[in-house]
Amino acid sequence: MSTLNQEETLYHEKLWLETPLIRSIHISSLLQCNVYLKLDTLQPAQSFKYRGISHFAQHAKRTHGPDVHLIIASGGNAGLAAACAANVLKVRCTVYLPHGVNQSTIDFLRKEGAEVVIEGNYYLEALQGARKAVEAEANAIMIPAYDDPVVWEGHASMVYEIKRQLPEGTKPDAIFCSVGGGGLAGGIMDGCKAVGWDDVPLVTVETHGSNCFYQSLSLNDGPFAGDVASRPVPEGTRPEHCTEHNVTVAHLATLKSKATSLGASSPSAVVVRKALNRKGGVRSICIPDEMAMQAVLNFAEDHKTLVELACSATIAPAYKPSLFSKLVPESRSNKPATVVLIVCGGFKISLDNLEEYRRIVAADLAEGGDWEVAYNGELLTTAKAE
Amino acid sequence: MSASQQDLYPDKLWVETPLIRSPHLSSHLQAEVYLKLETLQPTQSFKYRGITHYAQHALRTYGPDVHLVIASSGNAGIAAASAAKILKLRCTVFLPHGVSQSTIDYMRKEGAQIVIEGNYYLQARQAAQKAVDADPKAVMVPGYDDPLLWEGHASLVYEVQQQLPAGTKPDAIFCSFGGGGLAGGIIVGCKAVGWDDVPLVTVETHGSNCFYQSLSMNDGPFVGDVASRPIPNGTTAERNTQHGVTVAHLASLTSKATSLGASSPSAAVVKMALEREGGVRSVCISDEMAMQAALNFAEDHKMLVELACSATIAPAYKRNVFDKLVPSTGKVPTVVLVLCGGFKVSLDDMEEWRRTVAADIATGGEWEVAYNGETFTTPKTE
Repeated sequence: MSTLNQEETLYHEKLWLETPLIRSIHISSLLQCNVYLKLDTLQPAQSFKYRGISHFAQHAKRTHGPDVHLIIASGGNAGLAAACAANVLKVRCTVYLPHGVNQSTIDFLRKEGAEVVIEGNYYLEALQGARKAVEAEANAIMIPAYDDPVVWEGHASMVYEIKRQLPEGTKPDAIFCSVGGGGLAGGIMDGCKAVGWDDVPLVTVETHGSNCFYQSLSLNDGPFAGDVASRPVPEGTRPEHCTEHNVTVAHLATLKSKATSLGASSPSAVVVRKALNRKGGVRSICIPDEMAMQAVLNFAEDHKTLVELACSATIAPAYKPSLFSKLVPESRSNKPATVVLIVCGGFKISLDNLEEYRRIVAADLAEGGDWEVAYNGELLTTAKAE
Repeated sequence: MSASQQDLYPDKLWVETPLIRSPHLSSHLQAEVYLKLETLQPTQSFKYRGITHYAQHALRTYGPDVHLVIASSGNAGIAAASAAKILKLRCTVFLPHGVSQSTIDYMRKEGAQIVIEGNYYLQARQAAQKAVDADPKAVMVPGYDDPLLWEGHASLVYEVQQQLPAGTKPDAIFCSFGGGGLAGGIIVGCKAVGWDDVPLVTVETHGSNCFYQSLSMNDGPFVGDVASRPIPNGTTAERNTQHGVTVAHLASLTSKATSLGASSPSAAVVKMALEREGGVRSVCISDEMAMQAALNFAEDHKMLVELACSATIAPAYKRNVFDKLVPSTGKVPTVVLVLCGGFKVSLDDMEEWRRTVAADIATGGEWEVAYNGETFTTPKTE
């Protein structure tokens, strides 16, 4: 079956939008590459999550009927995506949130017609509340945040689009994406496999304070430098071996990053296995929050779009030419490389945040020194100033 | 039935931009509010449509040695530079002093030659004209007053028709009006797709409102008659015999929405606006109201837009203004806001606007809105 037929069959009733893939003149001229931005900021609910979650919701409605009650625990973008999808499909949706989620998030969820239950002080408690509700109700289904093949199938749609949108016959030299729990990365890897891009390098970006995927890769034989035994397990991290998928995943006790939308204490074991198996490999990097903040500011000036830190993390390496050329050595050849940055989106960003980031970055620059970037088990540094 | 876009614009360089439904504005107004995101054109504004269309025509007519010349301190210049780069043509942009470095850098990234001359746009324009007169290969790329530009801009209407739910006709289309290029394109496009009767709401700012003032000088939608409507200080009326309309020439433009900055509109577009079945609803708002809309839009839609662009959105953030412009018919209205885009907005601007709006709100009172010859007010606070 041709890729086009495959896409039609899988997604013929899709609720999400085919988002623009735009070539960034600013970043392209900085790197002397062809840098494309996949703008999933423009999805309904303002993030890529709408793909996988609306796909899951449609599947749930088809399987369980129109009385299905979709339940999700989320303080952010997944919850909003669920609410939007449920609204379009005219099914009931309840979002469980911990205390402390800001009013604008709650308002947004309600505008989309979702019921909102505020329970517990932490995400885990809200998740428990959601699980109890699912168990108590025959019609209720839990919408998975990131660890589900149907969700990945929805996210994978973006790769089919990218293939059609790039100049005819162009294969990216690398695709960059953020990793929280691995839903996006899982979708991209599945999509790449489906369109014949299993050998396309995938650069996954996290922050130092929220890097469960990086730490998980470190616990396995794979692309990391040295061997597993020689790589120390950070304090607060508990390795867990998943026998079903023959992979070890990291469980992080705390997440310290301001990029809260990345916030997963452990990644999907399946996604870790996929990353280790794929032909194009995985180039896992971690950056400091300040570097992601600087990228938010630069991206706002260049592309007039506000993105969350979890999203700007993907773009941050592209604003550092010498770091970029280490991550994508293919870019050093004579022929200009083609790179795709997945701008995953997210609505939890405000002008106040940007002002705060400006102050933090300025203070950090004033301290001097360089920023540390972890890459597949090694440490690099990159200049703080542009 | 609308013609296939592919047939009309076979070699188009612009992109079909998304038409997204705004949940924020839709729930605020109890309407179906759609945003046409021209911010996503390759050079970040709608100008890319008409100007690339013009450039391709110039290439076909004059050959690959044609030299595109334009006087522009902003979005038109960037669009021309980008068009020339893709078509492998020479391009020179004449700018007055004072244009921001990021704008100049953008044009250079696109490979244009830059000439900085004069302190005002008109002086840069004169220098550009001299260059065109001196070079047999040079053509002046027009800013807004040319049918080829309108033909290119009109493409967005074809797209909107395809993108709205099947069979939906907007109850109104909103756009900003500088010299009239965008409005001209929308009017031409509407006529082509059977939407000549769709109301067009044009938005300007009080300090840059050559179109509003021009409409005032003609028989048309404005209340009262021409003789009873005073001509503001600093404005001269000029009769354009070719199109049979009177246009206003403004001595100075005082608005911060500088991308609107035309001292007189296209006479042809004024004529088209007066003749069309759906009419024109011409609105002027204060800079502060446009600033507030830019801030709200950034929070809601995570996009930074210039004041010239946020002016289009501003009425949608004020229920009483919107209800006057799109009176209730009993059924839920569908409106399309054309977000014209623009590169000339920065985070510093947003901070400045925040301060300006806060100070203005502190002075109390309401904001004045002019609409087809009448004025009313709207509350400053949400």
